[in-house]
Amino acid sequence: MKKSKFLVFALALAIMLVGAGYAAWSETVTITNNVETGNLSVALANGTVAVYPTVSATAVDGLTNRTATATASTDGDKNTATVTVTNLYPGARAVVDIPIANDGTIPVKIGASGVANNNSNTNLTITQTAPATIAFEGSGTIQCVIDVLDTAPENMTATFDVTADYIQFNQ
Amino acid sequence: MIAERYLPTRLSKEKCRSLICLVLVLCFLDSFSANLQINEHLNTFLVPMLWLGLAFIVRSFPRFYPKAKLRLGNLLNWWALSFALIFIVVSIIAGFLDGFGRSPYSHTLRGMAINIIVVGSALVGREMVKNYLVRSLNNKENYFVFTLIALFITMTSFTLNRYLNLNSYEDIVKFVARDLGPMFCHNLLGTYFAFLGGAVPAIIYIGLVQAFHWLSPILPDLKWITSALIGILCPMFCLMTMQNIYGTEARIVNKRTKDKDSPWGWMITILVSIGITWFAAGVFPIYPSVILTGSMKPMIKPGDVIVVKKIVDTDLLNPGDVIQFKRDSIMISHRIMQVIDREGKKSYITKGDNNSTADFAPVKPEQIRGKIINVVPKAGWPTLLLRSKKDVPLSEIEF
Repeated sequence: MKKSKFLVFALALAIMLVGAGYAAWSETVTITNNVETGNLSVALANGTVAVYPTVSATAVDGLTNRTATATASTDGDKNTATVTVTNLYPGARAVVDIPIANDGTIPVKIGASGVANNNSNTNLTITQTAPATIAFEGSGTIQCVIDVLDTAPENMTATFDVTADYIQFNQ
Repeated sequence: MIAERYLPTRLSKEKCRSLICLVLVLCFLDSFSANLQINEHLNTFLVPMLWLGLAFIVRSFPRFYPKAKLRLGNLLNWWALSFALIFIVVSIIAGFLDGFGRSPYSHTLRGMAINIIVVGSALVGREMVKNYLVRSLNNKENYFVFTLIALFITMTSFTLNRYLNLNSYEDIVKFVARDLGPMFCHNLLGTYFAFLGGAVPAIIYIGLVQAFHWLSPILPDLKWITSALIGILCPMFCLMTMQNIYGTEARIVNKRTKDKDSPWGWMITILVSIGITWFAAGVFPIYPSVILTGSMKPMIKPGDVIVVKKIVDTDLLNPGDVIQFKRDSIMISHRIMQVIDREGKKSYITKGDNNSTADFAPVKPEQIRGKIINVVPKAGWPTLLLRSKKDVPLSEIEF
């Protein structure tokens, strides 16, 4: 027992000294970093409506007794625009252009569901396009083309929604 | 003329030298076996086969009988098993403090089989060599010889790359504390077992410790200082206990000598000494510090000892807290007066209670060492007497 005591004490002393090294080498400080994620937001603005007498016409029909407005919502997140067009006639084409801007901090792109409309009125055909991507601080135009078919009756009212689904650019 | 086979086995220096050289060759081969590019399976099993071959060579040598009486053979085997289990249990308990981690080794059947073959063969080979060396180089309990043999086996257990990858002083100390030291202590205990009972108890002890390390799916993820403490002290305390047990069983020591030389007293003394030293050095989450100036009067006077709790998250500090921070090479203990947040970066305006104005520079989070949680009056007077007043530039602290 006595013969190994020196060895055990030497090892214990070594452990004590190692502790001093551990205290010197293992100072841990946490520095708090603030990481903020950006926000995804697009906003619609008031748009324009142009009515053409035929689908191939390049000049508007010039009728003045018409209501043709495309108004973006002024409350909430400005993701809704209401378009009202009156006094259309069979064969006419109404082209609605609504500006869309990226007012968030992240670039966006069109999502899987794309741009769609829920029109169920068979007297109208609706086609719509929207920018595939909108860069940070960028903008584009959502266009909705309404073609009134020859079968459309008088005094008809049609209501539908056009939706565009935007997601963050890296999804 | 008595036939040679009836004569006591004699020391053969040539055999000892040959064994030492063979172990060194195998260590060298182990270091570079991956570069041999012979064959995938042969690469894996070449060195284990060589270790087993070495074990057979040693087995064929004339044997030395173990030192312990034959009737104590089973006792030694059982104590070897018990000490291995004690070490494993202590490691697991330490794991509850430091945490556990997933084992990095393969736990498929094939992976475990390969690990058992590779590690087991080297273990058996080394223990057979160790057993031959310890019995042939000395006939008495000579710890100088035991140390040399354990050191040789330990040094040859690591590959050359392990030594060559030590780049800094810190790396060397961590390697010695975490790996080399504990393995040396295990080998020293194994050498003592080999001296008393032959290769079997040594293989049982080291084999069980290695088996837990290689085969357990979850392992304690200990800090290197904890590994050093447990890996060094546990085998050493087991050695002291085994000496005591063997001395009693073999009736080498009488009861009066045994009580006087009880290992428990020494273990407690060593543990308490290490605990006090580590507490003073700042290993634990709280540590003491002597105050030399009067900038924090009346709360803290010169000669008082403050107890500082290490701070990991500086967000928990508020105005009014007394903190210890480092400026240049001086540790200063002052009170937080204001927390400034500029562009997401915090800094602290501090002031000594007895100072007329706030400290000239804000304290950054990385300068902060801890928060003062207690004050022990007058406990640091001996340090005050020993320390020269010129050491501390008072203009940095008191104004």
